[in-house]
Amino acid sequence: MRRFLILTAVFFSLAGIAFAILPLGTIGLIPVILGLIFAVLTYFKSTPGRKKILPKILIGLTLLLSVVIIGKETLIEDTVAVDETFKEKIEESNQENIEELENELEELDLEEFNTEDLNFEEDPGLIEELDSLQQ
Amino acid sequence: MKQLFIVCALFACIASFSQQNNTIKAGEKLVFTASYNMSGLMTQLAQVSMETANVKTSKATLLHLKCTAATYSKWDSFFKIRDLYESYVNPANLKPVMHKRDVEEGTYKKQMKYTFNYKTKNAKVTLNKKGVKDQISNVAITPATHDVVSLIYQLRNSDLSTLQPGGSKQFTLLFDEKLFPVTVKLMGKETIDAGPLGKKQCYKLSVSAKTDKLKGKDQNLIWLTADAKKIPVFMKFNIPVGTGQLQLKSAAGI
Repeated sequence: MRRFLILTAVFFSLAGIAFAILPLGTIGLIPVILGLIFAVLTYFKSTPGRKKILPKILIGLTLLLSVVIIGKETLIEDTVAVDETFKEKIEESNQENIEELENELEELDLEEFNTEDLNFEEDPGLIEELDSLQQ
Repeated sequence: MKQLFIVCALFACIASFSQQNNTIKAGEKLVFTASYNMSGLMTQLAQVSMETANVKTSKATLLHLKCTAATYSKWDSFFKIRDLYESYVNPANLKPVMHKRDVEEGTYKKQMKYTFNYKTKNAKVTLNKKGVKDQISNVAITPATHDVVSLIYQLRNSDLSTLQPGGSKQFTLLFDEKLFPVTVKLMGKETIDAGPLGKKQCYKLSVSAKTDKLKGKDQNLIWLTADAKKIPVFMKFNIPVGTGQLQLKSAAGI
């Protein structure tokens, strides 16, 4: 029984370390808390004559992991990295779009921009029209 | 992230089809935090920005609606998202002229361009992705068809005050070369925490569509401030890969 508890506590503690490193936020607390529970159970299952050093280490480790995970969540603000490639892509897209719009607007005819032409009222038969288009 | 955008757009479909734009102006920027439900806990995944700007061509002045989504830096090593969705619309009524979608999610990349022609009731679609280059197709559209971005703004331009709780409207969205009929229902009004705007009374709206991209009944919700600007402050979505939410983080130029 004690061996099972130790193995389970070690497993969840290792999972807790992995979760604390990964950007999973407070989800990392799930294995850490489970690891802590099993470590405490191991501690109390250990008879006075047997070594309690491993359960103590696991309890300390899981408590430390809890602090790390909560600290990361509360003290470190989520930010988006400055991505020059993405910025450049947006800039290029803007330029390209304007050029394309010059051509598209010629093709589409500027009368499209007469708002009266485009001021459609709600059409109760729209869905029927849509269905017929899709068929 | 694609699903996130379509959810946002579907949320936006409540709008009347093409009423005059009195709400959306250039120079506005809304920033949202997108969170995803993992094992019952919400984890912040990405930042979604929505910006408006005027664009002048030699023929006309258009309103440029730009939406970007980028994962927080802590996720970039695992699954990097850099999505750009943009529409060029008639500023008078928000009807789209051109819509572009540039998706980069992990190793998945895709670019789509839609050109709307309401006279011929046709949208020309150009697709670029792995193994496909400049594939052109045409989609028949209705006069009230919107792209994913312009719909979001069209929603805010709608007169929701005439809609009774329980009342619904039906709309059309063009996405991935397909038209989606969408039903949006007003659930009522609620006062919620609107982040940087403080506590605000909001329209609570439920969105459903004839698509497998939305799950559950009344589980895809959006809260819009119940004022002239109708700013989206909170959204909840339920899609095949899980549930999540978007929370307004900052608002400028409103």
